[in-house]
Amino acid sequence: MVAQRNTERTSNSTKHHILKSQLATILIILALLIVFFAIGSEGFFTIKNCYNILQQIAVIGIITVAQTFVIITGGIDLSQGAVIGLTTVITAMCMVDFGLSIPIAILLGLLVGVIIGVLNGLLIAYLGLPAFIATLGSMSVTEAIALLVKGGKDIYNLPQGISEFAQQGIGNVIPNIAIIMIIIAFVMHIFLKHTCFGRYIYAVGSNEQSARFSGVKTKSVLFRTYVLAGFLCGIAGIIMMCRMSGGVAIAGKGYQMNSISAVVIGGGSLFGGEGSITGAMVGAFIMTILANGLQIMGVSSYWQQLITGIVLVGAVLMDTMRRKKNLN
Amino acid sequence: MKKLVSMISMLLVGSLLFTGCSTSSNATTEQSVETSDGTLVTNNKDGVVIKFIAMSTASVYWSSLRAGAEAAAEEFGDEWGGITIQFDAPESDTDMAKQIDLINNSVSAGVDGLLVAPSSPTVPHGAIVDAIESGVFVICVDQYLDPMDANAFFGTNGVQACKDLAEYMVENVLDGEESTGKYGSLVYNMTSLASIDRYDGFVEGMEAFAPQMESVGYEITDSDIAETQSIVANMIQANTDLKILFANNDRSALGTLNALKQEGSLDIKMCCVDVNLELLQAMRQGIVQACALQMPYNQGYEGVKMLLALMNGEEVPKESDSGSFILTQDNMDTNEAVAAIRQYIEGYEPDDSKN
Repeated sequence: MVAQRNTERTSNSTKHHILKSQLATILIILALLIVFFAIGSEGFFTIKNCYNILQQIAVIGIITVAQTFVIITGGIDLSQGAVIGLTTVITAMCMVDFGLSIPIAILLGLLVGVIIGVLNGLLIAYLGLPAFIATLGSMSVTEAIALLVKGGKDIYNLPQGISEFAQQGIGNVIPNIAIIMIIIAFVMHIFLKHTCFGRYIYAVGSNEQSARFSGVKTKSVLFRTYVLAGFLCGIAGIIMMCRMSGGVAIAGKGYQMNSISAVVIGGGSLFGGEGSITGAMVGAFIMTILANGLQIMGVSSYWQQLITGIVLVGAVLMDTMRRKKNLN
Repeated sequence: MKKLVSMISMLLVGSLLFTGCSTSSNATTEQSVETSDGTLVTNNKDGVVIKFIAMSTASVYWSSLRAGAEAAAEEFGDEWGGITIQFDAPESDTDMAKQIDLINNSVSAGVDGLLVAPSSPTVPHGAIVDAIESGVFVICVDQYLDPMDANAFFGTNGVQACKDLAEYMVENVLDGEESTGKYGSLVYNMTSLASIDRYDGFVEGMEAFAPQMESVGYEITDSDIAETQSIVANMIQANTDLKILFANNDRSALGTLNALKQEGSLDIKMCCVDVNLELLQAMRQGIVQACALQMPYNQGYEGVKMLLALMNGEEVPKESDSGSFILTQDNMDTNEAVAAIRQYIEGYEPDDSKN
């Protein structure tokens, strides 16, 4: 009994140690990148560029938080980009075509994210579909609805305040949309690490059967995870709409690849049971700063793609090797 | 383990350093000179950096535009201490938000001028206005901004070009006003104004010149050749009286061409926007009747010239039409046609399209 408890404690602290190392490693990579770009180009290490980077990361940052929850449960959410697109269309439609007030339109837009989240949750948690297939399906359906709603045409002429909100910030240092992202990341971090539900999410991802035998209502936990993820994507969609000043059905298409990369760089395992919001956000920053820095240095876009791929594979390789070593 | 980790970190950074060596140099010292009306003019004879931000990396059209820009850079480089043309674009023209980021990062990078082909007339508006306020000159090519707050617009009037295309098809390929039957359209998307304008222009032309003909509508191809092929094959199966197919860009046209060959439906006539070698060969064979050609090379060339003029403190026309040319089987070997084709294919000779 005591021996068992000791083993558990050891494996918990090992896991804790693994994550801590990955976090340290990616923080070093992030620091190295910043130094490299600061030296390599005049325009990188300026307040204005910092502001730009925060603006550029806002949407991806929020969906990365959502993806973290999903990946920890051992699932994946491919419908994120589509949810962003549909949310921008529905919210814009409410304001422009139906003349609804901004708060009401935003609530309805968030509802879009929740509905897709509920759909994903039902398919995955209660009908037992693999997350990849279920969210691939919901992605197609959501993309189609976004295009059908207005025949693929964009919706513009949003109220003036919307684009201003997206462009402005506190003292030209932190954009409004980045503040929202930071608050969400912080709150969700606390939620994941310091609540029972957060612990259940790790449990379900580590070993769903054991979790169920331990009394965790796994299906309910999975379902709620996807609903939460959908809701957060709805928020990302609203922010995307503000950035684009319009409802664009194809906005955000493919963005889930970025959020998945960020989570994995941050130490998340696609097999489930591991990951952290902090790590995922550092992963998101690495990718955004990489893109920003390379562009400022004038590196061709084809090279940008290559380098981003190398960094992603490199970060995951380090993580995989460290896990193997710790297992030995 | 620590050694391995640090080794890989160094490898990652190393790959960045390697790229650092192969980047184009940024503008060095800039001197902003205030002209008489208070506007700041970059009087930089130490080298100029112009960035061309296209709609996507997917279409060859942008390579032609870039070639034109680079030609102007080479021609006028000496006067300016060297002109560098940088290029970047989102992977797909659906990622409109990426263009905002590209424009903002260009301003941070300190470029002197921007040539932008906006994938949406409104999405990059704020970023372009910010760029102008930061002292960067911005010219929109191919697609205009709405409201047109860039320094200038230089592009094709897509509506007129495709209307002319429709007129040619009706008068020369069909039976003029008495023409009957159906026509279908393949559009690369319905979100960018460039695409929508071409479709609207063609339909407008068809309705004006062949009022008895019926449109079967449009299908979206996403510039995917294989997908277009399937779509067109289905369209042919579904409509027995199909007389004309219109494809509004080069890839949609290739897919349409393949489908016509595959189905053996060579009684259906096709026309398109933009051109490439395969389409030219098909035109000689009589499968493609007409192509509306834009002037991508000129857009790049003149766009750079306009930016240089603005940097000199001169004025440029706010909006100008880069022109279009209706290429047909009859005129394809004339000097004018060859010059128009050379906008797309550098150094083209008529023999290149003969098998």
